[in-house]
Amino acid sequence: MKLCKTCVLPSNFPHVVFDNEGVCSACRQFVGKKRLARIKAEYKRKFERVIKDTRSRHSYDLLMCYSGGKDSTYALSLLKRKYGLKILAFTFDNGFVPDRTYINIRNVVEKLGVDHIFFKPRFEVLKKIFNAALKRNLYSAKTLDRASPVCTSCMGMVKYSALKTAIEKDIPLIAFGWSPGQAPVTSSVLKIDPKMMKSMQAAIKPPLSKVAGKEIDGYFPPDSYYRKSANFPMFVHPLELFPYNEKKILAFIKGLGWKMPSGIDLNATNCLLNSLADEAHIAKYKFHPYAGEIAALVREGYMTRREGLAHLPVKKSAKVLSAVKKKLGI
Amino acid sequence: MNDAKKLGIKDELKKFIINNYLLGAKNAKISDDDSFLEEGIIDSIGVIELTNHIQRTCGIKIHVAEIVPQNFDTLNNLEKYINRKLHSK
Repeated sequence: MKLCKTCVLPSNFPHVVFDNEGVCSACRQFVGKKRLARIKAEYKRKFERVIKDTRSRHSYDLLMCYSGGKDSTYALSLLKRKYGLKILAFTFDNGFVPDRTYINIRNVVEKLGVDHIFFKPRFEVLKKIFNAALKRNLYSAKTLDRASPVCTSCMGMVKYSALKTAIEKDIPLIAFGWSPGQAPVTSSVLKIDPKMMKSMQAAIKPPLSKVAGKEIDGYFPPDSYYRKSANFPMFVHPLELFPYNEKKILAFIKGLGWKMPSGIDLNATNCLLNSLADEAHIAKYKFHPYAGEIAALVREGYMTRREGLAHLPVKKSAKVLSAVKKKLGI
Repeated sequence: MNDAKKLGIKDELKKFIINNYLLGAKNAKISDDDSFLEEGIIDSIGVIELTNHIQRTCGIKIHVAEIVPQNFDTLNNLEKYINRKLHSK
């Protein structure tokens, strides 16, 4: 297996071919930094129009999916301090939140002055889901390019439980702290038709139901929530639209009382399960689940290739791995 | 339009979906009326990727209000939608 000479994609990454110069097709097809900057500027204008149109019309302007990791902490601070939004921060507790992350969350929401709620599903349900996702892919094959099946499971539950909460509390915007490599820039400001959103739920809810039965129904909006198109929340992921530098972000959020938890790696600074999920993904599919995201950050100039490469070995703590496996009954 | 011209819109989209969402598996099949939303073939990010692909290969601008199941749920619906857009250009 070889790595792209420009980014960090491995030659066995799905759908990617390498040319004679050792450069991957994703780099060859990249629109270029200048064109990307123009697209981002266009989406930033859209984002700021949306903020202007929705501000102060509801009890909360925005629901922030706040994992307590470095990126969502930075996104939360941008939305609060730069735009002065009234925010409800929402943390989905998957049972593997490091102790230090709870302290980080408390420090950050207190320092920024935002309301915050936890949603903690029963661990017996999550345990069934994570065990199944560690053994096989539960979702469309394409999801493997973006994340491990464990992460896709969690993200699906986060997205739809946040949507349910936003609809119930009449909150017009839902924000994620995705890094610029995690999703297309064209999804950074997204109004989705409710019927479309309901149809897309089919990519995640039935696979989870197969594993955990009706137990997961409460994490998803019921059908009736999709019938109203007025005031259906929009999705935004603002980190795509601002300068993104990991070192500067880490230095900045330190000022909010955020400290790096021990036993985790930089790819997921809020989850003890991540290393095991990465290992299982690499063993089965032979490429790192973060390769696509890190490669995009390198390609788009947010990270040097050397910094990108430093993200790809799975940094694991034997103590954490053992505790995680024990909790999952492995 | 490249592949879209050579293969025809529906076949090009079928190739894109099989290659990207079914990992080009040898036995991967998608029929023209299969709902790739209800069958979980494409998720929310997938819809955005598909939208970008169609805009790039077919040279049309897709408005968010047009990203609805009746346009995006099957190959037949997508083909009809794209043809309508191409004819109204």
